[in-house]
Amino acid sequence: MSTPATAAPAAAGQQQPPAAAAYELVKTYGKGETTVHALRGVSVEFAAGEFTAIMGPSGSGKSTLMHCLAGLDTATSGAVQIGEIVLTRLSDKQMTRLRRDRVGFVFQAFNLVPTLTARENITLPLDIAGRKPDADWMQTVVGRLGLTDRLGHRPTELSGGQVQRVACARALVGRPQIIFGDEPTGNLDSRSSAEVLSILRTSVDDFGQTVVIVTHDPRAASYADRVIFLADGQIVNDQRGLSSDDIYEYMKHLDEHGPDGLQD
Amino acid sequence: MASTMRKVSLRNLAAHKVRLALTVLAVLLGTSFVAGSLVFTGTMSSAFNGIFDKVAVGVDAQITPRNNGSGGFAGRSQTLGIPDSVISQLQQDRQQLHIAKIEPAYTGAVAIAKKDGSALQSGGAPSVGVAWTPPEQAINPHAERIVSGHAPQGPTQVALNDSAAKKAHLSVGDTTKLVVANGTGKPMQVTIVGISKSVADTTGYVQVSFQKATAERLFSDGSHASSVSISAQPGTSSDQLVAQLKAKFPQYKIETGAQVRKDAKAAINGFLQVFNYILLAFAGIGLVVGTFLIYNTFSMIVAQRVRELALLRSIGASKRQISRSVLLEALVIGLVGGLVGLGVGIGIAAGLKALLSASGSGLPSSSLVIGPTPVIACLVVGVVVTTISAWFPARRASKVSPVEAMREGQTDGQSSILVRTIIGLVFAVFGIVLIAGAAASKGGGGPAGLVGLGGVLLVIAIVLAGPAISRPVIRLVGFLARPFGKIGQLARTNAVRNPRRTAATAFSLTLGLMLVAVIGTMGSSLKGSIEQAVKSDITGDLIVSPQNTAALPTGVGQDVRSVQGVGTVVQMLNMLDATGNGKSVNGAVGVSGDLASVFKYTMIQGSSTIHPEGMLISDKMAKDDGWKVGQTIGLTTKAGTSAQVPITGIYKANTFSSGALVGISAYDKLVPAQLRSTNVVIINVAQGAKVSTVENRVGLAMKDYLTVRVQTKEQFANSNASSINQLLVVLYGMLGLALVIAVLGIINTLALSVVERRREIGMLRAVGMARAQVRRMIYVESILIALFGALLGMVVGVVIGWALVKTFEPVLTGIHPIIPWGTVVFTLIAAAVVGLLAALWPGIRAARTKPLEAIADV
Repeated sequence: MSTPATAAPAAAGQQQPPAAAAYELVKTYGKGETTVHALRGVSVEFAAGEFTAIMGPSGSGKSTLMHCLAGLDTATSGAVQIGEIVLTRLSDKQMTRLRRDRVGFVFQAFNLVPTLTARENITLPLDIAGRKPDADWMQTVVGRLGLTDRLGHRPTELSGGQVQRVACARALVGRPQIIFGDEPTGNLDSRSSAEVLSILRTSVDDFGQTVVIVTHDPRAASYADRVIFLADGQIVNDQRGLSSDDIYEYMKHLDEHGPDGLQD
Repeated sequence: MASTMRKVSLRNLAAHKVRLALTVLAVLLGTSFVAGSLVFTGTMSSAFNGIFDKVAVGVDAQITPRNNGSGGFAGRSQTLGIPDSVISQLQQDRQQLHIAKIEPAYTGAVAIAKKDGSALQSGGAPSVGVAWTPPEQAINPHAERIVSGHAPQGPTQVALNDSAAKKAHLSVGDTTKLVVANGTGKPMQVTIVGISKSVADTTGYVQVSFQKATAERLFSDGSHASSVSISAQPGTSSDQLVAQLKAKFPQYKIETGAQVRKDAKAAINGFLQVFNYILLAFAGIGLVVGTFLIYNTFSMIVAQRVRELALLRSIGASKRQISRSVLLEALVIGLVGGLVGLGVGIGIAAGLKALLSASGSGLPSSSLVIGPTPVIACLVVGVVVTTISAWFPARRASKVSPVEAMREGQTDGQSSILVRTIIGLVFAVFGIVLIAGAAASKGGGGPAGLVGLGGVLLVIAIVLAGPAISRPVIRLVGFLARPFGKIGQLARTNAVRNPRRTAATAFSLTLGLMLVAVIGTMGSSLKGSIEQAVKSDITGDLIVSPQNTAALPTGVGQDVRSVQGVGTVVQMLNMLDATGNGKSVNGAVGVSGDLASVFKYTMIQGSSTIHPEGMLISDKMAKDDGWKVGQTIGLTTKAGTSAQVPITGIYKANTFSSGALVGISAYDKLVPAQLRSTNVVIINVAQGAKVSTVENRVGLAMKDYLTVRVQTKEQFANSNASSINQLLVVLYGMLGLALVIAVLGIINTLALSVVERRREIGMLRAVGMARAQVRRMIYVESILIALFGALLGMVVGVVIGWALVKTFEPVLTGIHPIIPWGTVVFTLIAAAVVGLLAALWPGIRAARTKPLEAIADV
């Protein structure tokens, strides 16, 4: 199974373009003396079918990077691309459509509409778009995620882990080009965390899905193929195949010495 | 801490200006109507009092006939007045009774044509002809004077009062048409020779002054005066004079000038009371609905401030301090709402006065009088209503535990609604039983009251069970949301998400539209029943009837008969109140002509022909009075005339008539010529004549009678319900008020819901909901809430209206309930539009929600 993001005909060439990318991304808040530089020229590409974790201490800019990549926020300068689409010049309407059709989201909290059942929540983006979900695919996703007998329940009748699994199902069922997770396991105990992370892992391995999550938990990051470390609005490290211990050590190091004290 | 708490309250008010404005507006709607009604009626009664203070000045005694209906203002005269014998007796006993001046009055209703030939409408004010008394002969020489021209001298000369002359565009030297409403006369030509000014002038008032001899001839039989005013010689008090006169003339009503003024004031205040009740009814609706709006707002404010309140609790604020801080907010809002409401109310009163003056309704023109009553009432009502509405939310606020501060999500409206629903259902059952029982009963005032009581119980039931009803009803109207797909589903589920809030929001519409439906059902039943009856019972081609409530002289009948192409003519004449064999005979009419040829009525006994000397009575009368065919009844009128009238038949009571139909010779014996007037003339056109041609000819012949309408049966049916149309004006006023309050309530609820659901909306935006879709979601939610409220109000209102009409049915023959489907549909559409309008601003706010707000705890 290759990439399910069939919406990108450009991917037909030999060299696969990145699922998402940022070039010289700058994001500043405020003006004058109180200016905060959240991102100071970040350039990064996310290959299709890869699981990436973005890490960094509080205020490192990791969340801002993800928000800009996902079309939830606009950068001060630089370019963002989802598939072949450059987000910089999109109107709010086009941006909304892009999120709806090409991006999946798993948030830390407030993922689901409380008045809708799990099934209705899963199909929500498709319903908004007025599209019919692919019944087989839906069944596959729901089955894999162990939600088959939970579909008629409302969010208040689900456990925290189940809520996040429903959110994952919602992200997967639309076969987006890329799924973004913003601390998707931030509110979960370790067992539920492991469930959700292995779902994301499996979606990459089995369905060729591209996943990018922001996390501060080394164990969560260890499920990723690639870990990007951010500090002070810049990428300070970008590695593959790290264990949770490696990540933990690196984060500790980052906390103690700051980005300036780091020499690769 | 106390001052800190106060600071928190006041800062809170300042921080939410829109919310503050909406809540103040809610208070204002109620209080402004309270102030408006009190200021208006206060102004009017003080203005009328000012005018009536100038009436009968210097009069020590006034002699009027007894039983003459409601003195002067409208009402048909039942007697000829005070005979000349009384006046000559007074002249003779002048010295003995210490009388200074005797001033007989000759007066009667008239219609006068404007310069363009059309009738001069006086609105609600009298339009009268009087005998001109030169100031030097008058008891009060300042009461009236001629301001230009001269006093009327010949039989065709008149003086017209200044304000009427201006309105009619008539000036000295003009010639115009005049009709004396009662009696046997015909239109006459008069010349304006003078313009008069009276101290008792009101807007719309028309006074045509004749030479005394002319007035005496026109308004009496030549030997009676309408009333006699007398002044005493110095040294004799009014009371002494009245006492002496009473002893001498016990058969007449004799009052002092002060009593005359008091009676006039009482009569006008009674008339003003009607206005007051209508306006206070509006105020009542405004306040009751406003209470819910305020309650709702404070509930939501408390719900939103849970964290803040819990923080205050955790740092040591007591429960009492918390509830007091909420109540302080309410107090401030109540005061502000009361004050602004007072201002708006004064504006309403001014507007109403201007409106009524412009329409020439007979109200005096004067500046607004703002007494202490409206000011105090307005502030007290504002503060009390607001504080009571905020009391329950305040108590709930004080119960917030510090732990709740940390909890995620909503805390409002999660508690059970089971108990209130059960109590509500009990109220509903009692209400329905009362209404059904009353509707099935024999009817009358008692059962109508029971329907009202049942209605009140149903309203309470709606308040209590509303949240529980909201789910199924919104599911019912939810089909409207289906075309919107997922957006519609979200809107529908949002609408029932917090049933208490939905119900409280919709209640403003429910109550207002319930009243609309009650009035609408009654109006359409009366109107529809009369229309149906006109169409089925009247078989004549053309109908000649007086405009408004004016009377027409009997000459109309003769003039109609002489029109070419007219076949059968039946003239119905107004009877005087009479008694027969000790029983009162009301609703009787004199009939000239073959009634059966123009009107369908069923005979139970005897022939349908009305014998000129006899009468037909209705089955109702036969039953109530125990009268039989062949019996001869000795009828005596209040004018003192009497006749022996045999009963020749019994007919079945119908929509138009349930009294005696008296033959023309008997009528002429019973009613003195001066007191006769035409009720209606029904015409069949002659064979071969075209109805429209004859209609035009009759219209031309009737033109000089000024206040006359010539109509086909269909036109008559439509216009007959003009008094019902006035009822409908009140209806649309209520509809408007209910909708305005509903808009405010819905805006309030939605705006706060949007704030509460900020994160959820942000999430929806993140997963791809477009701004337009967010807006649409809010619009649909709002429309569903509005329709829920409207539907509930319509159903209950129609049921109550239907039951009320049912209770009238046995009393008003031929009246049956007709559901005003047009009004119902129109109202539901209006409610939906209101829902949409109310959602515009909250919708825009919701659509502005940034997707990031779902994630970031902004």
